[in-house]
Amino acid sequence: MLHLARPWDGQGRSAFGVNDCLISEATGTPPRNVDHSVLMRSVLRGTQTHLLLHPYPRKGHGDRPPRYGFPVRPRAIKEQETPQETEARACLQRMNEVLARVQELGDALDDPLHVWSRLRAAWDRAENEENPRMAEIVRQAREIAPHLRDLDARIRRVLRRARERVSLDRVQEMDRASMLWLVRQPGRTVSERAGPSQRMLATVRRENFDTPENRVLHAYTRLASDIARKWMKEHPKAKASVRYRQVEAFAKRCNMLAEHLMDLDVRVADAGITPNYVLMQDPGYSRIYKAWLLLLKNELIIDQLWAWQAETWTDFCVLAIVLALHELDDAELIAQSPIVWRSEAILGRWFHQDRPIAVFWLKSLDRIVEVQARPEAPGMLLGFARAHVALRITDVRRVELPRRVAVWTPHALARIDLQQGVEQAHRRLQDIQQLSAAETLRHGLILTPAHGTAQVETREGPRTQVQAIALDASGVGLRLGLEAIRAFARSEIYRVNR
Amino acid sequence: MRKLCGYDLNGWRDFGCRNWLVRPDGDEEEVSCSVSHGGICGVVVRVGDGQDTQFVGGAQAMLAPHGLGAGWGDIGKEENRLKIIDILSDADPKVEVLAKALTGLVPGSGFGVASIDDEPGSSELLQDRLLKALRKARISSPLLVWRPVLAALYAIETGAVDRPMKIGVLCHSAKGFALQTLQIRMEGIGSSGILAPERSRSGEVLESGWGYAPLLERAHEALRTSAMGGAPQSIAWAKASGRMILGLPTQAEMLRLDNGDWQMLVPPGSLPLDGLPPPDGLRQAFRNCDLLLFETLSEGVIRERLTTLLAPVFEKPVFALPPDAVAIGAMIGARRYSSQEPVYFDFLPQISTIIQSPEGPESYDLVDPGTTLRAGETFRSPKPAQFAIQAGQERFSIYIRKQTADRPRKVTIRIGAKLSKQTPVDAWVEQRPASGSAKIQLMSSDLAQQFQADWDSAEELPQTWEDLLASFEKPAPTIPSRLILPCGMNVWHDNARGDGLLKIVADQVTRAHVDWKALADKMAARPFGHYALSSDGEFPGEIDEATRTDVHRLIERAMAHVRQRLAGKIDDDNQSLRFLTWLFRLCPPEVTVWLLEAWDQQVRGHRLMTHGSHWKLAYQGLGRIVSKGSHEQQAIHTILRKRIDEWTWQRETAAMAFMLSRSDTAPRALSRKDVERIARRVILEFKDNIGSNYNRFQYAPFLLVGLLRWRLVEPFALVAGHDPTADGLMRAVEITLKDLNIPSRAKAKAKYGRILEQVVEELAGSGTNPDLLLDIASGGDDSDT
Repeated sequence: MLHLARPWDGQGRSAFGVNDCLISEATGTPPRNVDHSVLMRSVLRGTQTHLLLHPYPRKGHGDRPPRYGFPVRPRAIKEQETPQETEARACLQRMNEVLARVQELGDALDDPLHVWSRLRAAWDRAENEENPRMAEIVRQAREIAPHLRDLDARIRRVLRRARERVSLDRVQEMDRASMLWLVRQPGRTVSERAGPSQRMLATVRRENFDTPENRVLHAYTRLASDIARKWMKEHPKAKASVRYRQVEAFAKRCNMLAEHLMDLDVRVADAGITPNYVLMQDPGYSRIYKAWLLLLKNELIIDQLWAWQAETWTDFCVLAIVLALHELDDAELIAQSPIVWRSEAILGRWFHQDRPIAVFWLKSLDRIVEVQARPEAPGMLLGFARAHVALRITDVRRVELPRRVAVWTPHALARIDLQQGVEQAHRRLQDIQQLSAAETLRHGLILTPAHGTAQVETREGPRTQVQAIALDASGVGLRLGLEAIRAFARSEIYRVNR
Repeated sequence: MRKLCGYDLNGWRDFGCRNWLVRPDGDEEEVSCSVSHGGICGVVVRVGDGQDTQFVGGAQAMLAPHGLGAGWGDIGKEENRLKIIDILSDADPKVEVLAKALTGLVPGSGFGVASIDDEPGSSELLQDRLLKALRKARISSPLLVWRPVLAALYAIETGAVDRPMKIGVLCHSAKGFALQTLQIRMEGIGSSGILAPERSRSGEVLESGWGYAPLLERAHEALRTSAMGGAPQSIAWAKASGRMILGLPTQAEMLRLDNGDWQMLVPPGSLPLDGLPPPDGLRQAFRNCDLLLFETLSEGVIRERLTTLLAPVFEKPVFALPPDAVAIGAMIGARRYSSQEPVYFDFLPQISTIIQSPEGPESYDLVDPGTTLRAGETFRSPKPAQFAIQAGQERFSIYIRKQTADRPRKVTIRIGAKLSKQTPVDAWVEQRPASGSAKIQLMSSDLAQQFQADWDSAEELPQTWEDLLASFEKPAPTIPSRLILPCGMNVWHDNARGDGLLKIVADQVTRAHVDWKALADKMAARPFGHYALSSDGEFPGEIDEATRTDVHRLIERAMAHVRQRLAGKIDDDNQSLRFLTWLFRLCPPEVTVWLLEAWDQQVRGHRLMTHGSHWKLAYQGLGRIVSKGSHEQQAIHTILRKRIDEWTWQRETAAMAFMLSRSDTAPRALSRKDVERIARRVILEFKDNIGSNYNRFQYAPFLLVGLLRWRLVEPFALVAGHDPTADGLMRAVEITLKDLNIPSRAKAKAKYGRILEQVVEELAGSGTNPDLLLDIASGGDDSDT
């Protein structure tokens, strides 16, 4: 198995580092004992070859394949953070932004007839950093806040039996232990046994708030407050937005309620408790319980999302390409496999989509452009290029040979050197030109995270050309990146073959 | 915010409508009405493979290449694309597919109303599946409403209908047009008053070439012509055909051929409508209406042409509704439903069953005629139909007719155990308007069990309801008449063999020692089939009062004689007792008591019954003389306490046969369980005589026919073909008849052949000889001599 720092690399390496994309090329059957997801299967020189993606290690390092020096996903918010932790937090923020862009597709699917225009509107909004991203905590800030207000005023209580020494005239109930205590006291009458204080051990009922439903409420307020603070920290520029203010107010309410519950000696529920009748049936508590489970689940799956964020990045890039094509003046979307949104991500992927991803008809040129991602039959050229995203441009009149444009979506936790990348990718494309096939592959596009610095690099040869675009998932980096992709799409699709 | 959804899933042009939107930033926003388009000639596609397979409907499915031919690879297979019109007309529509078709329009939430076609034969199964699909689509409060009603709701909301009136609704449909008239009612008073449509009959269909389906055929033909024979398989799925039938502008489209190549289809600008006649018969259908609503999904040329054709037909105003009116009407319905306002009022199609009344079988309506119900309300038959399940049954059948179905059906319900007695069952209907099949419930308080009659799995009958009723109008099974052995003067008069009973009585009555044997022999004699006394204990009319007095004196003396014997004061034989038993019911009841006591002492021995043959007298004697119901009951239960295989043909069998055949009260002392035990004894008696000369067969026919007199208790009991016990008896008789056909049994056949043939008729419930018992008695001989 060949471990590759970049998909276009010719040389393999023994271990992955933080600057590397975690990609391998395996011939034959991929090894079972290595963490991977298959990006593409192709037959190269008669051999079945798999392009594999490995997850980022959760603990900073990992075996099979060997991975060292990776940042660990930050969990709690700290007052003082080390540079590594700060860098990890920046990585997490970038990941969350990519996730938000992909999840906006889920919201756009609410109106399936206008998915792409709605997604465009959502991404336009994301280009302005004063508009904070949608997240589960934002939804809960809006939907759960009224329930918290309601529950704060009517926290459930129970009367619990306790044993206390009470004055004789207040004794109403005695249990076995109280009676045993009484018979052991010196004296002949009850009065003598009650002693000089005239008090005896008896059962009394005391109001108690430490019930399972209040423990869940307590756990929820703490968790929600924590997540709300994390979300606010990720959007320092959005303080003026309504959404930010809602989340801020929600976090404050959660904090206050958590303190109140602590004063009432309510403990914190463990995750995985069995819900009681109140948690199932009381409208307020059941809503809180469901919201708590959702936040817990999100916290759990975020580990998986961190590990497989390169897959999410690929989906983000594909969406960006489809959006760019959708905006071409005479392009008509003539076919698109339905996007089936998942309730939770599987290996970093939030939706399932059969192939083809999208097929556009350019009416003026009579060309068909098909967006391909993780293709089932990529063909020899794409296999050699190790590009699991591509455009296939076909001339309806069959005057020109069908051509492909390779799209590499390399993802690394450190910024990729664009200049170097474009050179190496171009070299790989040049190598491919020596192969003969029923279609051509002369152009390539690299889409990689910008890490705050959007950049476009191009390397052009006599017959080949590669363009690299570094883009972000929000703010200026997103705007510039999308403009560059649009320009590339326009130039590539309207290009006349030589 | 209370989320409301309205669905118009029709397969031609699907619309959804809701009162909220998800903004691009992810926040939800409440709006008055947001209409979603599901596409023209909508489809549901199958995506994914293996366990991940699922269905997708709505606009996404319209854009999907699934099922569009081999040019798209594996996903292009035909089975991956289902037309909604096919799903809706499927005999067994799948809930999952329907749910995805709905959620493809509007994601379900809260209150949802979906439209259904108001046409005769509107499938209840589809209604049922649609309701399930709405629930699967996460609509917590679903409701189905007829299209014309939704059109009326839209008209009320827009102000086109602003007062109570009668309106006609003409819905453009697949076959042509669906016609319905609705009464608009004002519900509530003053400012709280709200107009609501009332539907009082099923809609009608007016077939026409203007229907969506015939228009689609025209569109396909036009496309084939314009494509000049290219890519015929893709033309079927071309978007242009749907657009043409709805009058929408067409545009060039790109079709993928099976080899993966592309071909451009340039469709004609519009659909050729030459030669399409205007719909006929509309004026008559809507003659009493104040306003006509015209609902069509079409636009452009088609809509204009239809409006132009319809306008001159009506004198009253015609209000043409926009294509999405039904979907918006559905959302209005959902809003009314959520705020507990009346959506509409509906009639319930009649459901009838057949019950047996004293006058014979009759059709019983489970739904009150003229019942009008508010949408969402459940109707329950106020007065259930009452049936009785015959004892011995493990299953029972009821017949049901629905107004919406052409043919009645027979529902067979398994009880799970054999019933020991006749059991009453109540049947009633629970039904909600336009909510699938009515629930036909059956409840028996005796069984503490509830059954549900499933219309869909019931057997459809070939005949009409009237023919079915007529087939039941046959008389109740015949009941053999009680046996009264006749009396005559032959015994009383002297004859060549000796003195007659008149002389003997006159002679013996004054003697110190009465010749009881002579008296008993004369009483038991049956010259010319007539006893001295009838089996009811009556004298022949010719007997004078003096003789009667003498007989009574002799009876007293015989009683005294037996009493002395019982007391052990005298030692004599049983002739006095025998004399008493041949008096039949003239015999004092005290004798019955003695004999019953004797029966109880059979094991340890009795003073009078010292010999085996004496017990024959004890049993048969009691059978002859018992006249009080309580004594009969006691005797029957004493016999039934014994195992049937321990009965003796001349004792228990004979006594039971005498009682059942000669008394009207004895059969009433039997329970169903007793009847089954006696029937088993009858079968045993018949079986024992197979292959014999039938010397011991004397009492078996009596017992069998006497047992059939239990029909006095249950008139429809023991009828072969309906009662398993009767089937067993029938088999036994048939085997015996077959056995009698053997030449060596000619004598027995002469004696019993004809009788048994008539017994077969009685078992079938259609006896032709009411005096069968008398004929058996005439042919046989029940004397104990």
